[in-house]
Amino acid sequence: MPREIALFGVYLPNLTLLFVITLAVGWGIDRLVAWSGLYRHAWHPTLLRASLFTCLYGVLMLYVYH
Amino acid sequence: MTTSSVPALPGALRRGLDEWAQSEGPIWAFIFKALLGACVALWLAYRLELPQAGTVLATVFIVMQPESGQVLAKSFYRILGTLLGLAVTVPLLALFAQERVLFLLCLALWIGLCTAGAARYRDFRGYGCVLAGYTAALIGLPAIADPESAFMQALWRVLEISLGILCSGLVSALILPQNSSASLRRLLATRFRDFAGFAAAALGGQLDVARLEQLNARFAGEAVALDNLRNASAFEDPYFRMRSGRLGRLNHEFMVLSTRFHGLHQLLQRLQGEAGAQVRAALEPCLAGVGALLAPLGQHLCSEADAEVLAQRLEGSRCELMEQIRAARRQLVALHPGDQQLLDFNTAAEQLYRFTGDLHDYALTHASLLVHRHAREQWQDSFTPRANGLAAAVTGMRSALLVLGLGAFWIATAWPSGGTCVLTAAMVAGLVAGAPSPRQQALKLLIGALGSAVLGGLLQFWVLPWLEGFALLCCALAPVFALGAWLLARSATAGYGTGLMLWFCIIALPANLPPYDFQRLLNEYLAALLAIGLTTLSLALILPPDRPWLWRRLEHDLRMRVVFAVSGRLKGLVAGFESGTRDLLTQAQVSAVGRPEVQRRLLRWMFAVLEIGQAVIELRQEQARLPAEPCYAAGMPWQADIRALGRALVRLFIQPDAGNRQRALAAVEQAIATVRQTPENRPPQFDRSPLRRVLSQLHFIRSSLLDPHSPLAAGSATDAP
Amino acid sequence: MPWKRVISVVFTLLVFAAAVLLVRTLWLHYMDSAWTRDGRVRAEVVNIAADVAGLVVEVAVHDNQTVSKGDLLLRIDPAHYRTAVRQAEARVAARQAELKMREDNAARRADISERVVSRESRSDAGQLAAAARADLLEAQAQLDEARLRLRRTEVRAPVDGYVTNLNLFVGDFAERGEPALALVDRHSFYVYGYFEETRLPLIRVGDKAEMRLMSGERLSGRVDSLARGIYDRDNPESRELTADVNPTFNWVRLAQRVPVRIHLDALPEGLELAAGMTCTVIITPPSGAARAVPLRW
Repeated sequence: MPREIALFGVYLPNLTLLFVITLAVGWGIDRLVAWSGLYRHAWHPTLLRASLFTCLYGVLMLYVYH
Repeated sequence: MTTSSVPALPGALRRGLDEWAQSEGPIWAFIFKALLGACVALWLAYRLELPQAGTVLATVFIVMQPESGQVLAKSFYRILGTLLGLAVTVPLLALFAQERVLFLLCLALWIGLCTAGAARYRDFRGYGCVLAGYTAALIGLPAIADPESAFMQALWRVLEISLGILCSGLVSALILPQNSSASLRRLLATRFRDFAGFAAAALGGQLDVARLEQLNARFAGEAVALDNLRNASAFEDPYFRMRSGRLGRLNHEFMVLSTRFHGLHQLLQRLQGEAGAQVRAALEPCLAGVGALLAPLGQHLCSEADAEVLAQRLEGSRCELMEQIRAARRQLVALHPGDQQLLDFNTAAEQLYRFTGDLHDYALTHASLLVHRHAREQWQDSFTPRANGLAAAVTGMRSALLVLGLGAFWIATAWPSGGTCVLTAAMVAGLVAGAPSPRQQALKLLIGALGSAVLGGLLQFWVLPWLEGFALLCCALAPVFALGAWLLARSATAGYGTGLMLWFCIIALPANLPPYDFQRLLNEYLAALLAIGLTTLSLALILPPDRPWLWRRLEHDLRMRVVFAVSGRLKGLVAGFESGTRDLLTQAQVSAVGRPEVQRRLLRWMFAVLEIGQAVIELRQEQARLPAEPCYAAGMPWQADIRALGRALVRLFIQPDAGNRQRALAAVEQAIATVRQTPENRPPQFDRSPLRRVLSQLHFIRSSLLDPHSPLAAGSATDAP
Repeated sequence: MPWKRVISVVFTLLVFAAAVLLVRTLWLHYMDSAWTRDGRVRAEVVNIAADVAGLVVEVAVHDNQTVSKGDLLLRIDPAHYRTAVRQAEARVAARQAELKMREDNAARRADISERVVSRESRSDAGQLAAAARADLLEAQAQLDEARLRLRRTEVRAPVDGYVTNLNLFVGDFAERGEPALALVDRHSFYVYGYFEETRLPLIRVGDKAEMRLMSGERLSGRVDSLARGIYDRDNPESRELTADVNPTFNWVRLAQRVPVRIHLDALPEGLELAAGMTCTVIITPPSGAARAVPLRW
């Protein structure tokens, strides 16, 4: 996968586009986990949510870059 | 929390520390978070070579709030507002790149529109409006001087704003989080406790009109605040997000409950004289029963479990209450009361019964918060803010004129700092539009900006030249940031904090390669202070918002709520009516701060409107669910009379004078008489017979119209020709 | 209950640690590997100018045309230069005639007895013949020059390449030495990757390089050389040979970018490069394993 994409003539690093995609996917997963009530058992729910999102983003980026 | 893990501490010290952590702790946590967020954002802005590090930090301080949920909600709407501003400005730039006068005109119009939106909504949506205008000014104004690079500049601004939001959101949510959900719970519980305490006392016979008014005014404000908190905590906490619908419903049910209780209170209040005393005596046991149920809840904060207990007890006691009411009526009938007395009794008893019904609903919804998924979550009606359209339009027009005037001055004089001046005017207009008292807020911003000029000058020319490296820069900036955060943390001083931090960040914050240019600093600060000063002046000169014209408009708007109740669409009518009326009252109260007599008058109007509006809506609901029998047909005379009553009420509330009041009274008497004459083959009990319920509502309207303390009576006395 | 709490804390911290680890890996990948988004395709561009001045009578190429070495590009009006050749030829003929006369004279004087012709006269005649020979040589050189100019009225391509920016048309007056069009050398394409100074230790001459164009094509190449100097932007001018140093310095230091020249391998079939295109450059050592990053903090 290319490291950059051209979007309406603007050359964007893939990082930004993937971030937006991850945001959408992550939001969906977040809703799902919240719906199942798992966050209630977490110690610091916000930290857990942020970490989960970061993991998702990181895995996606590493996959793209390899 | 930290102290509890140290058992060896002596009791007094521990208590002291705990107290400190309770009262001062959150403020210090907030200052720490603001400092951390600002330093991280600053480093990133320098490292990523963003052209204006000041925009990043200004964003951080605009978004920073003590409560994490507020930060996330604000961030969300800030991003939306920014994108909207971008979406509007870029086409404007493309259209009028060469015609700066036309461009400025369009920009002023847009800013005016956004400011009007901010004044109209006053919640997070209003915040989005502020930002849409602010972003348009931020992107558009520099583009006037340099149209070639406008698009890239616009993208940079959006990136900078996003970075600021990201930093402040992450820091405030991850480090020492202060949950909005906690304050939401606290607010809910204290509100219900105060209500239950007062209601129990009133049902026990201690009627206190002054306290009722004071409480209701507070509840109205809290209803508005609660809806904002509900929005914020939905952003922060999935736990509350799953309960968002129920929280909205809870808020709504509380409004209905308090309106109902107010109606009951008024009815009891109006039971004067010997005849009234008889009715009151007959009602006594029923009232005492409900009062006894509420009394324990007035002592402590009500948890979900308490609410569940209350709901169960209400379930049982409602049947008992029905029996009690019937027994009481038999007692009263034995005394051979007059028609009026019987009507009074029936109406009051029905109000009481409905009150327990509303209370039951409220308790059920409150208890349902314990579970994740619940049928009560299905709640479509939302809190509908109402504002005076004229006031919002005036606010928008004022800021548009100001921006246009300053822009024209800028173009005419080719003033180098004119851009800053116009930008500041646009920002201040947006920032104060949603504030309770715009002029005071603008004054606070002015003082804050003045402080930032002094601090910025000192820092730039006496401190920063001695420093080298980012760590030392942070150390030098930390006192200013901490002062700003300390001011921001209290709502009374937040205006000073915003002024201080915004203009410090925009003007005095050094770039990565610092240019020490005293003239530039002076010019920019002069421009900014001039713009804030002019905005303050314009707020005082051009139709200032805390003057009789606005009170009259708001009073009119409040009265028009009855017209809405009479003619609005029935679906969602209750929610729209209750929330909108309270929102209007909150604005009216704020705009008349310092004028208690005006506040009282507006409060009285709200009560009159709520009483009659609720009765009218319930009449209409009753009409809508009548069974298909000939005596309930739409063509029946009593139906026609009720429609006539609706028209009379509309006339009365549009123009409250003695003649219209007499006409409305005549209409209600007529309707009562016709309803009584209508034959109905059902037992005359209010749980079976719709006409009986209609009669009670009509009687309630009549007693409300007759009330000598009502503003309708006062209005007809003073306005009578 | 405490166990549940411990588990929840440990779980949250584990996820947090995983997130930190991932971010670190990503950071190393993004910041500490030899790649840059800031790459440019460049080529050697020859500025073509006429060697002789005159009216342009023919432009044999059109803009963006591919030409081979030696192809005719444009023709300057040769009339003046033909006349000049004829003039020069006439002058050669005249000089030849004069040389003939002088040589004959000298030979005659040499044959006549010393008593009739003075020694002086005989010697003079010999010298005059030598001077006439030199004059002839001069005239012949002028003729060569005139012929060269005539030949140079036809401007030909010095390299294989592409005509660009053709800015001269029939009827224009071409000044001598004034560039009229640019010729991009077809065989000279290379890539300049502007790498942050922090990444330079990861790059050696001879490393493999992969280029990705904005349009998606990939090119391969190898590192040809590293630039050994860039301009110091913070201190723009120094007067009177003394340093003009900025009295302030960045709060956060930023890495400068240094150009790295990359030689391109054979281009893929059908790919048309243009000098100035943007590309991403990723550099890998020949072994394939990444070089160790020097310790920076």
